[in-house]
Amino acid sequence: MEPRVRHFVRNSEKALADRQLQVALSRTTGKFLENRAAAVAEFPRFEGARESASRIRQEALDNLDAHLARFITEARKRGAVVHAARDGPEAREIAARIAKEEGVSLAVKSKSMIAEEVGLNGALEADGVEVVETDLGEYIIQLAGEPPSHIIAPAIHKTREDVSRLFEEKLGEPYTEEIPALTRIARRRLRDKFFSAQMGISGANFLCADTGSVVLVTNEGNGRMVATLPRVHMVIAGIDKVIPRLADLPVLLSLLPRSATGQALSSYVSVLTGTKRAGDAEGPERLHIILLDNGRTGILQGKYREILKCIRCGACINVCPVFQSVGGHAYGWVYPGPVGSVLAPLILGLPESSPLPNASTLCGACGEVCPVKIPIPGMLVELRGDEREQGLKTPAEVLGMKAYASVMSRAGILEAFQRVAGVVSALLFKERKIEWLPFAFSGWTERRDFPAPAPQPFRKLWKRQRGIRPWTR
Amino acid sequence: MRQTAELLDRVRAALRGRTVAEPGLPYVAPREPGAPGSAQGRIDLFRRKFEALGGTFLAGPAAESVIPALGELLRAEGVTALFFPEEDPASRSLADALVPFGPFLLVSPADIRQAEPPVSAGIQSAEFAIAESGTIVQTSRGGTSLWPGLASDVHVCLLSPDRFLDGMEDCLEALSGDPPRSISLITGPSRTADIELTLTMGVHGPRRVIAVLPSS
Amino acid sequence: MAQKRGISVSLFSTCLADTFFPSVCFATVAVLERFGVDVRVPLSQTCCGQPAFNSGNRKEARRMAAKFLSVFQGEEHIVTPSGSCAAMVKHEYPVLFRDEPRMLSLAYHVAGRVFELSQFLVDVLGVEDPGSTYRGKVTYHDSCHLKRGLGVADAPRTLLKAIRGVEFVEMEESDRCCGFGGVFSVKYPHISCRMADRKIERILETGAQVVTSGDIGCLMNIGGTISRSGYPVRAVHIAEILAGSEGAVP
Repeated sequence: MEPRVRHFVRNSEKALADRQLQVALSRTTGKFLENRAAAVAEFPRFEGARESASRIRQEALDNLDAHLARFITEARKRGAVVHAARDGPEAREIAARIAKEEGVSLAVKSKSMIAEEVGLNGALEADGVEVVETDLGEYIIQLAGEPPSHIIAPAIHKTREDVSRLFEEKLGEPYTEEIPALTRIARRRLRDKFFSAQMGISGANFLCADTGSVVLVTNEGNGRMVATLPRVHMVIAGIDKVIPRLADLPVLLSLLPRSATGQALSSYVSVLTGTKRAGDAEGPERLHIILLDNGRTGILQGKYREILKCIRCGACINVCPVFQSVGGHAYGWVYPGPVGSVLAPLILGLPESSPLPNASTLCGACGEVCPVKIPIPGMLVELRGDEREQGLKTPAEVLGMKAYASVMSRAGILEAFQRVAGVVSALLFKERKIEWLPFAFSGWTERRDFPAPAPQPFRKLWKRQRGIRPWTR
Repeated sequence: MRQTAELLDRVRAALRGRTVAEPGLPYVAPREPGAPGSAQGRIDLFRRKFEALGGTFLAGPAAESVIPALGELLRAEGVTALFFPEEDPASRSLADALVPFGPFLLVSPADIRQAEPPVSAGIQSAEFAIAESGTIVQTSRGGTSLWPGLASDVHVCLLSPDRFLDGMEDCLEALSGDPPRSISLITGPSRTADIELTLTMGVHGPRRVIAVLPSS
Repeated sequence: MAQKRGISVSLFSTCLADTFFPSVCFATVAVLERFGVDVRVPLSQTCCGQPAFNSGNRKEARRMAAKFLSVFQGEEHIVTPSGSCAAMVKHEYPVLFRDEPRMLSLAYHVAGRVFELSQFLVDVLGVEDPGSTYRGKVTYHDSCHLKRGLGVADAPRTLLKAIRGVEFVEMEESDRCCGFGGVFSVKYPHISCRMADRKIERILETGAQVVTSGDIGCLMNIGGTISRSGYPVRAVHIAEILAGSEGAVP
């Protein structure tokens, strides 16, 4: 996906004016949060599980060299071919080569954010491979030619009428606004693809180091389909998906579905270990696992390592009031919301992504819901600090801050400014409010009044009230 | 090989100078207190969770006693065909016994492998049942097929009282050492809410799950 | 009415209240003095540095934080009518000085002594009834830093509900961010206003005549939007409600 992060302001303004999107956002994020709250309420062990999960994920990262090495060894032992891709272009090249070597002309794909991150579909399609998305939401937006707008519900922005029109136009299916009927259409169409595809493509929710297993979590069941039916299974996963042990899975799975959709457990959890064995009824003959770096080793090294603990639940996205206002597309890249606002600068670089760390009020809701306790608000502030250090802030802001700090460096200076402001204010703003501010501050006064400075600041009134001589205290 | 070696080098370099513990210290997460102590307790908990997910739980003194009820449920779902894995005698006899209650056609799993198959029920013995979450477990051990729970419209799972476990931890422990190629944890039917957040069953899997527990 | 003799408090007035809302500072003093607290106001204080810190301008933030610490070091209790300023000192000063051991130690020392007003009244003084009267239907906005940063949500409600004449009503989404976020409100004004609109919708749904909060930034944002749009609601700082002295300066 071509990043358009730098156009965040423009895209968010468009999103705010898009009535249909606003309705869809309000409906869906409201539902997710309601369901999540209910799921958390019925799980007394939630806080304890968060602590455990946080430690497990931290352990995985702090010893990633050992765990990753073990995963690779164990997976290979059980028949997997394990590849490593340094970045997006390398991942695409590996995937295309695999498809060619394995004689693939049709691939069925289960949702993978990382495949979006590297533009996997495009690379395969350029080589003449038909890639069919099988998650209902992904299938819909694939037909529509749009990128996903949310980690968990990619078609969150489409109404049933949109979907009916789409199926009518692209598939020649009769128009129906019945959601079960629409679902049956997709089931039938995709079933055919599952049976005829030579390759199944998936991401991985977790990679278990001690057994070399790939864990897929879905509600629809397409994870199992793509990993069982075709002759070849290709997995693409970030190196940060590694967990130390298969036994770590239950506590992580007690949090992921609850945080994402409010379910105690998703419908299908598949733990897949290696290729089809002698005596197995089904399974892929060939298993290719592509491990993607794409900036993650860089993140691992630095002060933002904890962001790699993310288990991609989407809770931070759902709870973010900024996301709720503008939706996913405005963020311009694969990962929106709070987690995206940290990942985009780290993977795409700060110059391209600089709106995102700043497009937050630091309200803290994301940190509060993160199942693995990633301190996202602190990271956003840290990234803003990096912007200053890298000279990415506007001269106006830097100058403004320096001036502010100078005024605040001595109470005498501050009071002098306050007195002048107070006199001007008493003269000009009789109604104690300012209706227009210049320059960057006009953003405030477009739709809000700004308070006028008090005729006299508190410190002056206090001194007078308490009879404090200027030279004491 | 070379690429993965380079990757590991980069990871090692990124972690240089760490001050954390050696790997291999498993972090043991605390277990849910109050797990049912008895086999019947487990079955009861499983049943509650399973039914809350929309599953139907049929229990009786022997498989035969639930057949009429099961047949009626399947008819109501529009099922016309039954299939089961060749190597599963218990599900074979259940299927045979069900035929007159449809009437249902017995088909082979291969017959289901088409774009527009008959409405079918896949019958299979479950390997485990997890009480805590109402989860059915199928693995690829012993040549077991995933087909009945994968490709059917209705999934009928034959349970056995000695196969109930408290939690997922117990299941993974039972399968530890060398996990089979596939461990499938099935919790309810196939579902999606991708269109307008409206819950719909039966996308890429069964739209209904029925559990059968003969208590003898 | 509990009288705690011998407790002395240093008022951390905040740059916003000092400049724009002196009545909030006087109200804070009045409430504290009502419970026998001896209030002093260090007049060399200026700003805690939050606007600089939150926007990533760490150098300037450190400068202001160092000044704050020098003004307030040695004070026994530091009370402020601002949840976000209290959170800044308590949580972010240690972050700012993580590489300077001497300053870090001073930061931790002072951090332990900073309180937001309602937190101080309830948790330290043990006040349950502020002893004031205030006529009207009042709803409360949980400011982000006070609730999520400091964990204070019950104290303000305990106090408000005990005021004679107050009809207290909870709003939906009381802890959803109002869209202020400091610099965010001018950098992303469209999003900021959308968030404020939603907050005001929730306020209007309660039928309250007054919305109150423990953060001046929030009240400026909500109040400024109300003032422009002419809604029949007033945004009043909780200190003034507790003191029963809305808008008054001596």
